[in-house]
Amino acid sequence: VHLAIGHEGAAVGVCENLKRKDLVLSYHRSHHHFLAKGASAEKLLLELLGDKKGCSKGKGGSTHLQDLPNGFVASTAIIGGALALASGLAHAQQLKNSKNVVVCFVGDASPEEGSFSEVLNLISLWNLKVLIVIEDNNLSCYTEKKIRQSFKSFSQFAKTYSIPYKAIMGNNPIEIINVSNKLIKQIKKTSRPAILKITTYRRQEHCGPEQDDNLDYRSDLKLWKKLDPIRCFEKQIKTEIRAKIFAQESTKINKLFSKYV
Amino acid sequence: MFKTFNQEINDVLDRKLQKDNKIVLLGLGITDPKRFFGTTKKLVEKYGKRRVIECPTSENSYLGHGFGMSLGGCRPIIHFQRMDFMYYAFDQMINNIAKWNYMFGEPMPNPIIIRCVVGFGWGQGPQHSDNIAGLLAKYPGIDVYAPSSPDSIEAIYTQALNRKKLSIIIEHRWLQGLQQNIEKRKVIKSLQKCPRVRGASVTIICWSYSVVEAMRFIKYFPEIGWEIIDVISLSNINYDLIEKSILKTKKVIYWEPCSLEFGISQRITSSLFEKIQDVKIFNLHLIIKKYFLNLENIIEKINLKFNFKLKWDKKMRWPKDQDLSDWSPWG
Repeated sequence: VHLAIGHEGAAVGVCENLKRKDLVLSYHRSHHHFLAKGASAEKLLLELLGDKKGCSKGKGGSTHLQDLPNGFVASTAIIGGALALASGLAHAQQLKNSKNVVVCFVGDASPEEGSFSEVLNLISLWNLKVLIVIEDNNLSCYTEKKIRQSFKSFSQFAKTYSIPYKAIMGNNPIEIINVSNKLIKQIKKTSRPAILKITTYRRQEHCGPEQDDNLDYRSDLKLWKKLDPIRCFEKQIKTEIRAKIFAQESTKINKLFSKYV
Repeated sequence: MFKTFNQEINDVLDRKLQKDNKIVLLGLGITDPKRFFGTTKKLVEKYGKRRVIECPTSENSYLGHGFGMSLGGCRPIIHFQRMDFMYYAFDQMINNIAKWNYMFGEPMPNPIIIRCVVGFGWGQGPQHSDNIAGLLAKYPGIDVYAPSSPDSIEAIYTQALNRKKLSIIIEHRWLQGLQQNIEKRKVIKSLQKCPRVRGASVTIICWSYSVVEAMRFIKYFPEIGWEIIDVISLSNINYDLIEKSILKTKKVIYWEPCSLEFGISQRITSSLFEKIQDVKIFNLHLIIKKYFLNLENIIEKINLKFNFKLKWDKKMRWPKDQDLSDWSPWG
């Protein structure tokens, strides 16, 4: 199970601007995208439990989620593997003269794969309405970006393939909503792809429920707990409303967990 | 009237494109002057660049892209001029496409077809002449077809377009120019029942170009009762047909167009072994439930298969999770 605690801002911020028919693909850390696209939390939980009533009939698990009626096409576990599917889906939309965009969430390791460059070439060459959202949490499993990458910025890829590029912080969902809104409008208007990089943070271990502080591989966990997107968002809304939302949502979640777990 | 293999493919593609406007062709070289051995001749002129799409040299991504198009409502036929370049595309082919139907618990919305050519022959080096049919047929999510003559092309495409899964059609380069008299031929309807020649002395099991070689060979020796079985559908081999033939002739020639190790002939041999020899074989993987082998089940099945009376006892320890620390059989 790949938890997305700390990444929520990116998913909610981008998906807030999407219609039901706009399509989303994602990578191995995809619970937040699945939920933000309007899919059912119950089906997600059942999927994690390997239940037949799960979103992928209990066969896929955490890394293979799907909810076609809500436009969540798939999450796949091989890094960069969903990108080509996104470009193909956008191509099929183009043949139907559809206005829908296809959003593909990837991690910061994805540009290290050949498929990233290949797909950037395809979506630019064929003018496809694809938004690639890079969630940059600095880690590929446990290996830091500076050990893995010779390029200084993902924008270099965008420039090479003439694709508009924007980079923002991932801790303020309102800002992400506004920036991605502009990008998505631009994609629809120009029929050209775009890349959005969102700097974020993985609070939990790579795979599993623990906060692996004992491994002692990072020093910024405390800082990022303060920068957590949910905390930041809470500060921006009135206390009464916050309490109301919190009460509502926690009742729902508790009910769900007490039913199945 | 004679028609060559590549002309037949060209005609079938043309008919399919005409009949179903969801079909799109993708690949490198399908609109170039040579038109993929002539098999895509005049298609781009007739159906336009929106449906006959020339691709960049990105095998992995244009296969994944084609699959994305199929998820979006198209019925793509993806082209690879040499099979060797498909190794680049294995991530999409296996991890995304072949596993899709299992991974998400229901079939993909549309069929997807790969056409690929085995190089072979003059000027084709080690990286242009590979035939990896056996490797592809190994994956459960893939149907592999290897036609040997024009008469099976229509049936292959019709079947592949009716199945919501990946079909790979392997074409041998030396078949492309081979002609067949279309007035005399019987068009093959069932890909699983394909004996080319009936006889009672020696069974020849072959597929793809080796069918042509075998057919030529037996013409020199008509005094022997050859039986030639053309295995067109490599993922759904008709073992009953082959078994009947082998029990009749008691002599088999495997005439394969590629290396033998872990290939089609070995697969056929393994499935016939139990039936022909007096040896019982039991494949354990069939009783995996929820990722783990169930000991009670294994014992039950072994008893049934070998007529044993092994008894299951609740005290028998068996791993149920990845934590095997207290279970190790190594002491």
